[in-house]
Amino acid sequence: MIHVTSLTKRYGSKVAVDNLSFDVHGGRVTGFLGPNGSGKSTTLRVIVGLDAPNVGRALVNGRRYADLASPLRQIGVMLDGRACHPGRSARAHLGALARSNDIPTRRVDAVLETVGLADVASRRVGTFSLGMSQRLGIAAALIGDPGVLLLDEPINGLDPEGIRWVRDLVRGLASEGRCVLISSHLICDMAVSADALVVIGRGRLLAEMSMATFIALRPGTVRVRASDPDPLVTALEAIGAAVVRGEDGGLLMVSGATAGTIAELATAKCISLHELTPQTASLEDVFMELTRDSVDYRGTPQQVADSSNLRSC
Amino acid sequence: MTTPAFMPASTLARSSGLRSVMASEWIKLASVRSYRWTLATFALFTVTLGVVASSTGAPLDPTNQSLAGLAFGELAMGILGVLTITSEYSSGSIRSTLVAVPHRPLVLAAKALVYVTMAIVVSETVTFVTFLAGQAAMDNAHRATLAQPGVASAVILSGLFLPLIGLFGLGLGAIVRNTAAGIGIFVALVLVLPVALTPFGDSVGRFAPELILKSSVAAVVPQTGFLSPWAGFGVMTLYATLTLVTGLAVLVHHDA
Repeated sequence: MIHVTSLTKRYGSKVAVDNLSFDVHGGRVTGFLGPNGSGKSTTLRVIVGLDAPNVGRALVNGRRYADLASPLRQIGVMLDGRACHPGRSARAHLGALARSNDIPTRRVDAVLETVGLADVASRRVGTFSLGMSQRLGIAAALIGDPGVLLLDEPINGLDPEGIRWVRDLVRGLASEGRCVLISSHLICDMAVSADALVVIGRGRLLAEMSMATFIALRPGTVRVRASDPDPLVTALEAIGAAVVRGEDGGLLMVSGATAGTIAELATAKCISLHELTPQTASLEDVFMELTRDSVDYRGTPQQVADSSNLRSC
Repeated sequence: MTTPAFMPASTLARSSGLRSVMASEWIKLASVRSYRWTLATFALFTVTLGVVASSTGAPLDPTNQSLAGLAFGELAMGILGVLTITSEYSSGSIRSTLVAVPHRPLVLAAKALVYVTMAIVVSETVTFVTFLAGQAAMDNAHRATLAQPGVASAVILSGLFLPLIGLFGLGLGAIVRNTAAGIGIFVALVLVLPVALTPFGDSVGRFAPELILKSSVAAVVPQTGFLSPWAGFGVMTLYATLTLVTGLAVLVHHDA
């Protein structure tokens, strides 16, 4: 479990992370989403104690990272980019990590097997392709069999087979009860694998929601404004449609029903429709929409939720 | 409820001890080929230079003469000291290291201890070999032997001086966190500084690491104007301590 509270990190005058709070729970995959430069990597660096926050704190299993005993046994970390001497073999790199945390050496071969690098374990890491380096990074994260995993852009540079493998891996890890946080700047990466999302932009929290809620905003969704929404919602839910509704009560985001069906239902109930717009946005568009104006969301993070007026019904 | 496949955090009270971290650092040191090449080059050049220096003329201090190659040796060992830490920054592996061992003083202590242990073994061996080879290359009349007063201690102390200068380099590397800058500053301090100090005479120059080795530590026949062997060794220890303590402060207080 990861607990981030009021985290602020400045580099000189640049604010990389701005009053960020969120929780990551066990037993699910949480996607950590934001455009490039939104502060994802900085947040992860602060969580694992590489960078010190200016304000706030990040706790792993209830403790500051620096206070963890044998941290690799509790949290596995894969940071963006290479984190290994190019002249060292994969086995030596993992062996050194294992040894520092008193992790049995057999784990080295076990994780090399898991990530599919067993055949090249003795090769110098400098000769590895980007995809192989990513796999080595994942192996390093798994070395201590930790209950918490932080993976920064794990599928970057992987081929489609590799991407599928990572998805299956993180789903498997979460189903064992582990807490998994994976960052990405691409929503598509998350759509299949994540159960929950933490979305940030310009270092601020934009949204913390379940993947199901997020998906409700995507194609197939119809924007509806009705004179009397309540009976319409009831009727829509009766036919199995999902409705996410705005707090002003007017706006409904309906998925699982076409615009035609909604219109017929409304007519049957004598409800006049003020708006009926099928959404053509892809998940990507939803994400872009959410993050595009992150500069305008510079009030409190709470306001973001208010401004989009999302409430699951 | 199913049993989690991983170890629950509560059972893991043990923290990484110095021994574990040292073992980890040793794996790192031993697993990079370029370190071995640097050490081999160091040994070859130091001994060769010693033999060449010894086979010319009739030296006043044959021990000092045969140890002339250590001037190259101190560069090699110092650069290796710098690299021990800066290569972690250039390769990005410092992040892996600090994620595995967040207690940063422990990391630097383990690095320094592993480096210095390796360096003492290698350096003492090379120093003895270069002494013996140098004496063998000298004509019989001038040869020094380890049994003569002051000779054994000069050889042993010189062999210890190189690891010490390596620790100085390691501290420097921890301060600048960059290979090019670290090696540049190290070479400037060891090679350029003595030359730059020449106008001020030996009263200042005797404190330069290069001259401490050449004229104090490796001297059996005392050289006028220079520090005694132990005073010279003490001054170098002070230098190494200064860079290591500063380097530790930088490591602890900076974002990695």
